[in-house]
Amino acid sequence: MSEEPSRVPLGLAAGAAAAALLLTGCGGGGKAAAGAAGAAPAGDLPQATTYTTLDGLPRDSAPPADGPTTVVHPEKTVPVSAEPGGPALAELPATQLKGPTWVPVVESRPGWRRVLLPSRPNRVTGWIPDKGLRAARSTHVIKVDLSDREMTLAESGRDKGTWTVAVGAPKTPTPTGRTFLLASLAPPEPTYSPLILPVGAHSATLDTFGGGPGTVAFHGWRDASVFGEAVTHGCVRVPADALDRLSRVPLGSVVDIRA
Amino acid sequence: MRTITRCAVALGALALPLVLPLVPAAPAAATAGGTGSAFAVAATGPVAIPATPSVSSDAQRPERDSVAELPDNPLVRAGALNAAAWSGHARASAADVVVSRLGLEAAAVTAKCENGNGVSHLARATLDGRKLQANARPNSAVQIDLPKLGNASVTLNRHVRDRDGSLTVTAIEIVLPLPGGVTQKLSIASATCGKTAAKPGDPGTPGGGGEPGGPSAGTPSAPAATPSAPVSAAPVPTPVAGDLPVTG
Repeated sequence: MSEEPSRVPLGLAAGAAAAALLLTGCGGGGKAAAGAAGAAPAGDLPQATTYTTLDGLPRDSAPPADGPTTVVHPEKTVPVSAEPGGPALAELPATQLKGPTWVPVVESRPGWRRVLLPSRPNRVTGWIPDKGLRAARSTHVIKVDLSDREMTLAESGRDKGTWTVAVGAPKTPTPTGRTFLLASLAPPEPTYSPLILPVGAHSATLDTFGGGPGTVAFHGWRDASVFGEAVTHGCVRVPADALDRLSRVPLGSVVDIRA
Repeated sequence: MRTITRCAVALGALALPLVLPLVPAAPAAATAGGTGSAFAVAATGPVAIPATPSVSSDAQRPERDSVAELPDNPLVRAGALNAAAWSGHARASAADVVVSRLGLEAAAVTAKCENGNGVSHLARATLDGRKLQANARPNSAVQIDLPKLGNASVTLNRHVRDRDGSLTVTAIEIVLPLPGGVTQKLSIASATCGKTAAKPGDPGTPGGGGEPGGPSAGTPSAPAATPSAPVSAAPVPTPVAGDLPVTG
């Protein structure tokens, strides 16, 4: 709990524009290293973040569903095992990219939750103990159809909106499978988008990109002519109104990317 | 000037005990009631406060967490924050609660949930100078007109029954629509408990039924297959200032 209340950074000014309130941030840049501030000592175990690759953990293979998803937030760093009660192979910190960690549950056993993790390889999962988790429910699913180059936002099983988007180019395709909304970032000096919404997946063809770990994300784009094209390095570029809707989707919500 | 109207909307008839001890009783009488969960204070919206403290447990012994004082924030002050949960039971409390923008003050706010039944209690609580009932009927709503901000909705003793039969009782829930379609929400003393054991698998998770469901070797013994019931809707994220080079 100790690090979480420090994320109470925002003012509730009477009459102030709510959007401005929302964009008042915690400070800090993008180099949120594994084992973020406030987490327990990492020891020798790798941290489950967008910067790391985790070995020996099971991969997600179940098809996504449209129904509600249980999402969990660890109050502090928790161990990650390949099976319930197994030895810890990694640690899941309480924060990701300076925001709270929220990951979707894909399977439950008594006392244990199997969750999607934000590391490489894509679709990596791990079991974490149920104790000390804050659980909540997301009714949102973000669906991306790479063939149609469309993104659909569903809520409680009903489609709430569909937008034509830009997806990965043939040589740098957007990876398919079930992943999740990892973070909501407001770049201090936005160049192409006011918000960056990284997901748990990474490019399968680019180990790094622009100095980052090849993380796939939703974000806006200055030139609307790209929508409907397969031109990106793996990210999904979306129109401004779609980005606005995505900004209100809870972290940990499932992202279903299909070929 | 603020105008206050009151209405009571009873969503279900519940036999409510009026005595609400702050310290959980011995769990010897606990039945297999699924996961209990509780938190003292949480907020979503422009002022986001993670559930503090927050516990969730399906064990037979209570899991407790306490925080002496809520970290500084522009929305709410509170101290002596407690949360406790175990199988089929949950309790939460906060003391010296002040929400200055609404003129809300309470010496103590508590919520308790036991095997699908819940009750909340307020001690020396006032809203805009008016005394609030110590034991309000479930889902008692109070509307407040706040100049420049709009209508705030304050619900006392809020009861919400989930599809799985679990109950969430929140002593005070405040919803404040803000300009731009944004909503500030504040929950004070919230407890969730189930009445019956949860179904095998986790119906709230994608693919939950598509994988082996039985406990595996090495899994600590548990009273039943009782995946935790989510306590609430997941929060709308607050963007953090930062950047990450992504595969644009």
